Amino acid sequence: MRLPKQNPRFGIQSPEQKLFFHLMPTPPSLDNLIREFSGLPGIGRKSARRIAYHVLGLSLDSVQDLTHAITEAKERVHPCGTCFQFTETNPCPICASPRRDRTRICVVEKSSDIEAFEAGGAYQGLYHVLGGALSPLDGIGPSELRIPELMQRVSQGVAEVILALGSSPEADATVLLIDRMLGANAVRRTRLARGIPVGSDLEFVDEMTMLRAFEGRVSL
Amino acid sequence: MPVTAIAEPAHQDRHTEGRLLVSMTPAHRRMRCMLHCGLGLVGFAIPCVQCGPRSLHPTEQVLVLRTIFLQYFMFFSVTQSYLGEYTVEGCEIEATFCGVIHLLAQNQFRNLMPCELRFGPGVTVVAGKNGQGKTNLLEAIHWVTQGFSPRTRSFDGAVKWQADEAWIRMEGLGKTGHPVRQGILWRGGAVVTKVDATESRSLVALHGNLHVVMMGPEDIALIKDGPDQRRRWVDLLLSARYTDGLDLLMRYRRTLAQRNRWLKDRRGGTQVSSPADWQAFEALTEQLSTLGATIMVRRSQLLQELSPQVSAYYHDLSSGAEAVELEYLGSVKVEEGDESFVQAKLLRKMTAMRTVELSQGITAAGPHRDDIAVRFALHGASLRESGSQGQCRTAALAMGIVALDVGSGKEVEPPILLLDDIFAELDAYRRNALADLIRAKKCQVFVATPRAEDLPFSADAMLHVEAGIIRSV
Repeated sequence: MRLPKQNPRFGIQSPEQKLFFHLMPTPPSLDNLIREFSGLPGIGRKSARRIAYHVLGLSLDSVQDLTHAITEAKERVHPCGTCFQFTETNPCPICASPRRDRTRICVVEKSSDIEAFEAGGAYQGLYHVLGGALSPLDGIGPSELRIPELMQRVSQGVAEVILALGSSPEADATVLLIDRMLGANAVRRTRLARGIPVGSDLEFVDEMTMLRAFEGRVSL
Repeated sequence: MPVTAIAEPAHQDRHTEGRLLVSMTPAHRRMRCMLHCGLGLVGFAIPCVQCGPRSLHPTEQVLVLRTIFLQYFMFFSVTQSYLGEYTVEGCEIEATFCGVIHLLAQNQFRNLMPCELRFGPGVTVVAGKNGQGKTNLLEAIHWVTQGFSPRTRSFDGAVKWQADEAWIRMEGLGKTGHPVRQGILWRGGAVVTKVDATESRSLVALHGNLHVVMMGPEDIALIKDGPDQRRRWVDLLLSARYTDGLDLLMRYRRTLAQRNRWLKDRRGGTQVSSPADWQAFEALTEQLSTLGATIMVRRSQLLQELSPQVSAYYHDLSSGAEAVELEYLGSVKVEEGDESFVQAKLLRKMTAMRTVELSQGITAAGPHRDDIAVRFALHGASLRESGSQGQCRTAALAMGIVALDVGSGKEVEPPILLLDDIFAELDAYRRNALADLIRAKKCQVFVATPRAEDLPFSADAMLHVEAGIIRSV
């Protein structure tokens, strides 16, 4: 095992670095672009800087294509009137499809969650996007979520509601809330199983996952 | 210089048939090969040892060079194949699988003068008069290994007055025997931390490589202060004992914050709630009571289990003069084991207190309001109210040592102990008993004391602190 090389000047900024920062002020418009990029989810200051420099290196046409793509997507994509997932048509292709099982609704937090289910192709029912989870701390109450719309859909002859929300405390509260609001409705309520990923070696499963897997074990 | 490594199994249960190499995972097969033929792997190429074509027995003596002893040590610890102790004769290394701090260097930390200190694995005594910087040295170790200090909240307060740059760095072996190098650099109010080669702005990054526990005079707060200290103690044990303990506590805390926010927003009935809003509140209440009941039942069980242990340590420390017991004082009475029953009771209590909750804007019942009674077993008087200073300190120490045991039980190595003058206020018997208990933990220990001559420890190394200057004696 090789030990990492000792750095006697740990943490001390080199004179070159100091000099560099003095000589290289970022132009205001570039700085603005970097700030815009770093506001995007999952992009930090450094990635934002890299993207911004990449954009500067592009031809004007490519940049216009990029901005056009952004504005076009923003103009044309809107939530579906029934399930509230992002779509260009109304109703969305899933809601409009005659091959879909209309007696099942899978409730998800956000539109992007649907893609994961659709990639698998195992689910053939409909979806409902809540638009978040119950969180008074963020000012999200029942009226900010699309729960009334869900209730309305359920009352029109649905056999099963699959609550495919995350594992956060807020998601759990939302599940309880929906369960409460469905009240005496005879609809079947299910939630997705949690546990060991398919094809993974038991050795490498972390302890929390293992615990959940044991709690959710099924009889043969 | 060839030296002898004697491997003695301390944890026999880790072995099958008393052999060193037990598992058949690829990593262990590789080690077997390495020991037998001496060809080994890249990075672990070591000369052949006297092992022959057989497994190495734990009690066998193995000749290794000092330079490669560390490689053995690290390999065993990384693969966790051997959790015994190693003694290397001739150079006095007693290496166990707890983490070890080899080096600490600092600049402009509190009143300390710039220094670079090397430590052995045994007991290091830090002696000096009051106010010379003994605790500061221990605190520096705590900062650089844990990313926080029991004394101050922010690093700004720990920097020498009017200094514009301060740093601490350490080198050692971590939990798994990996070399650990960590550092904190403070410059003009901003903190940069460094773990190996990775820089970060977060102090949290320092946490997790080494298990360091500081015990000091302020631990008496566990007995003397409010219930939040005791809740923190039991929650620490809860998260060490149960796999989902920490997750449970975090979920409870988050849900509590959500519910409190809901109550606060509608305090005094200023906002007329819709039926859906009420249902949201009831969903939050149900969720909170379910999580709360689980916490309460587990805390109660844990205390029933640990109360005899605390009592036993207290007994040992106090020459058997008296006994103490711990009991969980819950918002509702917690019967054994039955979570759904406790949940129903907690839910009823929360419903009963709704008016109070709405007017105060805060959740009025649940594990976040509970307490732990620490009292004399004989007559049931609370230590907080009727215990002497020495008795309270002894009880706090007993609880602290139980916390170490529970923490170590979860296959975590024993921690590195920073003991800040904990022998004060104890009589000679209690001092010796405590020293024996700590000796039995077999870990690296730093003891700060103003009276080194009274110390019940035989120090392996002695440092003397005077006006911030640290000299080894």
